[in-house]
Parts: sequence; structure tokens; C-alpha cells
Amino acid sequence: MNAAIGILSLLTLGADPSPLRIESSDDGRVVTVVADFEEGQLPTQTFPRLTARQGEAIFTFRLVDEMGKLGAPIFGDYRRVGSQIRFKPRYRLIPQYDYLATIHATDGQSVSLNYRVPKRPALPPVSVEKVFPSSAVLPANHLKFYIHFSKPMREGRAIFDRIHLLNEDGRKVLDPWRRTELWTEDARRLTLWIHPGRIKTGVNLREELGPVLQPHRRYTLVISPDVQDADGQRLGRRFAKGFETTLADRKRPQPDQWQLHLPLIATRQPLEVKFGESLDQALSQRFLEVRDSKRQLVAGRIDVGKLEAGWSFVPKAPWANEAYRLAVNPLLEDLAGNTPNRVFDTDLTAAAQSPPVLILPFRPR
Amino acid sequence: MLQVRVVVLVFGMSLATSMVHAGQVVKETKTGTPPIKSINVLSFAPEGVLLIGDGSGSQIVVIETGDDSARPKLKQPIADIDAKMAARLGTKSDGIEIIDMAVNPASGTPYFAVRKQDDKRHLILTVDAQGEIREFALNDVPYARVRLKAGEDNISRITDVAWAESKIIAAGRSNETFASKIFSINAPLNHDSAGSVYSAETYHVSHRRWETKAPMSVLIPIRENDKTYVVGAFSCTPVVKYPLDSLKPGAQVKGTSVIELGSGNRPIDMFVYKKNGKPFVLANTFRFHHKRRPFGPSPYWTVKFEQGLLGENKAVNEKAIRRLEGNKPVTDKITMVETFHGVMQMDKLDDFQALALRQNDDGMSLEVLALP
Repeated sequence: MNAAIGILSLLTLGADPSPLRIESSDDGRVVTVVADFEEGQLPTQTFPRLTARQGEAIFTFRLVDEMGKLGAPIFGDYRRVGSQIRFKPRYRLIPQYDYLATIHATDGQSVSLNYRVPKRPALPPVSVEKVFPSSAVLPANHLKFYIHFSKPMREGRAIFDRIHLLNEDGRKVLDPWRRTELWTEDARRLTLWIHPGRIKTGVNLREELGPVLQPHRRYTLVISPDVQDADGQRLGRRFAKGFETTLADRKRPQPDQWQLHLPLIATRQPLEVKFGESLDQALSQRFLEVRDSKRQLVAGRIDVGKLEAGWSFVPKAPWANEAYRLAVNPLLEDLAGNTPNRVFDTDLTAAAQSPPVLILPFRPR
Repeated sequence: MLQVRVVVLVFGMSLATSMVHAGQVVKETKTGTPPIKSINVLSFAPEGVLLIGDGSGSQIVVIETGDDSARPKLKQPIADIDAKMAARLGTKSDGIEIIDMAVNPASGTPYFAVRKQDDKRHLILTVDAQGEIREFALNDVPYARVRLKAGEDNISRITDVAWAESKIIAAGRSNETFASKIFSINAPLNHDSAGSVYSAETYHVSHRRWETKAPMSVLIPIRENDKTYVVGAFSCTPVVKYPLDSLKPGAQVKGTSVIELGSGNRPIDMFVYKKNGKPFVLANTFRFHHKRRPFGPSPYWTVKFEQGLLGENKAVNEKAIRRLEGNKPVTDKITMVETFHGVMQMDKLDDFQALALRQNDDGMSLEVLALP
């Protein structure tokens, strides 16, 4: 860490020079508060590492709010180095927030030092990079959107009040989302579910409120500029994706109906697959794989095609003259949550469905 | 946001006493810093053993807190608890999210899972009887972890975890598929053991006709006629029970709906308690239809129902007892608890009181409320 020493202002009392100073990292968010004591001021039994209670009894580092009110002492580690106590907050400080370090002297005299974290350098605002499905035509029982942001985002349920569905009249569809946060680990992708209770047949929520999407209508998915990144910066501008709806899709994806365009032997041409419908973008990346004649996984690059209606695979090594297979995970979903195994709502009164075809054999040309 | 108290019940109207000794939850621990990636839920097993549901890490982490004897309990409400916790981390109330709260039944101390929003650090805080907020440090602790695998898919969020007699049960779901799994983990646990984890996919049926997968939000174990059930609550769907012994590898478990609390609500916490010798269940929920059809002054409202309703085996599914017909309450066995309006998180503090995190006009408070 490239440390610099910043003494911002000495507030009250105390000797000159100040017994308090703050060593900070470049951005000022990681600090060490150093308090110098004179001989005999520190208890002789003080060990190199102080407990929080021992440390806070001697000196504190606290947040100062807009009204000038002090928070409780900030969590951190207190260490004694000679006649110094060095305090390092456990968590990063916040840009443009005010803090106060105070030595609590036994004679009632206190010395304080104010510290303001520098302003964060201006960076481009966060943006919506992609939304899947990319199609502008979705089934009326469409289940989920994947929203990709350019930066890690601020988690919290407020997000569900900042993303809206507008109908043809520009009015908000009320309560369309399942309010369960599903972010990727880096918090750059949100999986936004239309409330399944308004999609599932026979469930009371749908019966009372009706479905979120009606067939043959136009809607707009709107992401408000109030959506924040992890640092609290707002989205640069409003994002909108328009789409129209078809009838509900209550059919299973049928891999045996997919079209395979076969590559040439001894080349690295892609194996191309056409689904005949849009499938779930994220699951298409994970739930299709190529295996060789020994059932070993073939290494290569996967690309999900236009409108997520196709898929291609470029092998790392050229295709051999042997029998390969494309293996389909039975959990692969279409846009309405139907899988090769079962439709999203299974009608128990309907005739039993045939088992799905999940292995598609092929041989390069 | 979801957590439950663990209660072992016998439906002959008498409570079974399950004696659990130290070492029955965890057999073999490792001491160090558990590799926790996220904290979705907190709960407690006996003897001060903390259960952490970590969805990003696809694991349950179990920590022996050593906090295993009774301590004085909080008496005075703490106003602006969110701002006070945030200040301890050097930020303001909008800089943190309180994800979950669980009371350690061995000591009466509440534990809070908190996420610092800017750098996404997850941590655990405690509040003592004087209202002092401390961090429960996650370094140098004795812990064991159990990895959860949902067949061919990954679990990305743990929706609840609970102790059930001699097992840990958990509900989890994937980020991308509509799959939902219940896990049953045999105790005592060994660190990194995987052999004793069973999972099953949960379904429910509506109108005796439509069968769908059903992600479970809250679960508690109950015991009925010498059989243990997992009782789960779902968003907008009924309270459903599943036999615990049906959780076998690869099983598909169909639940029985026993109570219909009404649509437009997301259950948050649920626990069982006794009042005048009679067992009840208390459940708080978030009403996402609050603006359209409010049930009270806050979208957070709480319902109390007789625990015996969970034992129903005939009037189930579409015949399950309903709290409302239209907008009108139709049974006195399921009642709204007005003194709990605004309760966002809650847990049982003792036989007479609950600890509640309550949303007020100007912030969040931590309060002790009498059980209704």
C-alpha cells in the first residue's frame, strides 16, 4: 500500500503537535489512526493487541453524521507499538463521509482529529449491457429476464421497485416480480423472475390478479436510473426494452426436432444447432455438451446464437472421424420454464408424455 | 431474510422434549476462518451452534459459537438499530442491509447477518442486553461445512435452514433454473463430509390437476404421529408439509397444502410457541400487494394460527382452511396480530416474548414483544 500521511484538522485541546494523525491509502478509504501517548499514559499491562473494549476506552474513531451526531466506535483492530496505539478500521471508509478520532484522557481532557474521506474519482456511470432474452417476441407465460450490468450492483430488495413493466398505455403492471434477489456472485447479473404465482395455472395469485402478461400485447421492460451500483452511483440513464407477446407456450423443448449442421472432419468448424425456438440464454451456455465416442467431454467454445434460438460449438482440437453425441441436460428451459422432461405446469389429467430424447448422436462429415 | 426457530412437536398436543447434547450437532470441526461467500440465512441448533446458509458458496456452515449459557436479555427497545449497526461499520443506514436475524436459544442473544453494501462484505453482529453491538468474528472459530449439490445444477441461494431433531434441513434454489431443493443433512456433522446429504425436488399440485415445482421460502420441522414433516411456506401459495423421510437422493417430493394464508404475501419467519398450554405458530410476511390491498399500516404483517391445523390430513389442498374469503376473515383459528405490524424479522426470545426488527416511519427498531 502506498501510504501517505494526512492530518486534516486539529479540533480541540491537546498539545501541539497533535498526538493524533491518520495514515491513509491513496483513495483514503483504508486508514490507520495513530495516537501518540506520553510515558506513563498507557497502562503498563497493555498488550500489543488490545481488545475492542480496552481500545475503545483509550481512543475511538467514529462516524459523524449530517447533523454532527457521533456514531458508536467503529470496529477495528487496536495495536500498541511502543508508546503508540494504532487503530485500523476493519471495513473500508466511505468517500466524502466525516469521521472523528478522539483520545479519551483520564483527566477528562480529550483530543480529537476530524477526517473526511476524499471524493471518489469520477468514473463512467454504470450501464445496462445486455438483457436476455434478446427477442422482442416473448410467450405470455415468459418466466425470467437476465439483466447484465457493467459494474457490480448494490444488492437489496429496492431493486424490485426500480424495474417496471409498462403496458401499451405506458402504465405500470402492478407487482410483476418475484421479490427474491438472485444475483451472480459478482453482482453484475440479476435474474429477474416474473412472479411464478401469476404464471402457474390454478394458483390463487393468478386467479385473483390474473397473469402479468396477456397474449398479443405490447410491453416495455424499464430499468429506472435510480438503480444503484455497489458504490451507490446511479445508473447513467433509463433503460427500456420493448417486446410483444404471443400465446402462452406450454410445450416441452424437443431436442429430437433440433436441426444440426455438421462440421467437416479434420477441421475446427462449428457444430451448429438450431432449436426452432428461443431457449434460456444462461442455461444454453451450461446445459449442452459434446462428448466423443468414449463419452469423454470434448473441450471447446460455446456460443449461444441469435435470439438464443441456436447454439454452436467450436472444438479445441479438430473433429475426428468418429461418433460424437450432443448431450442435453433435462433441466434446460425454454422462455416459459418448460424443460425436455416436463412443461412448467404439468396437467395431471393429460396423457403421459413420452420420455425426452436427450442424446443427439452425430458424426462430422 | 428468512429464518425459523427449531421446534420439535408431537401432535398429540404434548411437546416432545428432545435432549440434545454437545457434540450431537457437530462431531468434528476445523478451527479457522470458514470460507463463507455470502450469508443468506441464519439459524441455531442446540448448544449455541450457529447454522449459516451460504448460497454463493453452495454450503451450510456450522459454527460452535461457545455462546451456550443464558445471558440477560434485551429489555428496552433500540431505536434506529440499522443506523447504529451501520455506524459501527463506518457507514450510514443505507450502506448496510440486515439480511437475517436469529436468536441463540442457549443464551438469548440475537445474531444478525449484515451485508456492507459497497464492498459486499458479509458479517455477523450481536446485540447484548444493554444494546451494545458487537461483531461475531468469523476468524479462528471451530466450524464444519457441508457442501450442497442439487443434482446437475448449482444452488445459488439458501432460502432457509433449520435444526430438526437430529438433522439439519435446508431449502435452496438455483439462480437460473426453476429448480428448488430441500436438503436433509444427518448429524453429527464432520467437516467437509458429503455422504450424509440428501436432496429432493419439491412440487405442489393445485386444483388436483396442475403440478409445478415450488421453491420453498421458509421451513420448520414438525412431528406428527411419530413422523417428522417439513412444513414450508411459499410465496403466494399455501403452507405445505412434506414427510422428512421422503427426502432421498433424486426424489421428487409432493407436498400437501394445509393452510391458505392468502395471496400477495411473502412469508419471512415462522416459529412455534405455546400460549396457555396450547401450541401456536407465528409467521410474519411481507405483503407485496400492500398498496393495492393493505392488511394494515405496514406491508409487514404477522399471522398467528393454531399449530394443530398443520396436522390436518383430510381438509387439505383445495379444501385447506383459508384465512380469508375475499377480504373477510372466515376463521378464528388464523388471526392477524396487530401488535406485530411492521415486523420485518423476528424470532422467539423465550416462552413469553419474541424479538422483532420492526420497520417504523423513520427507520428500524429492535423490540421485545409479548407473544400473542
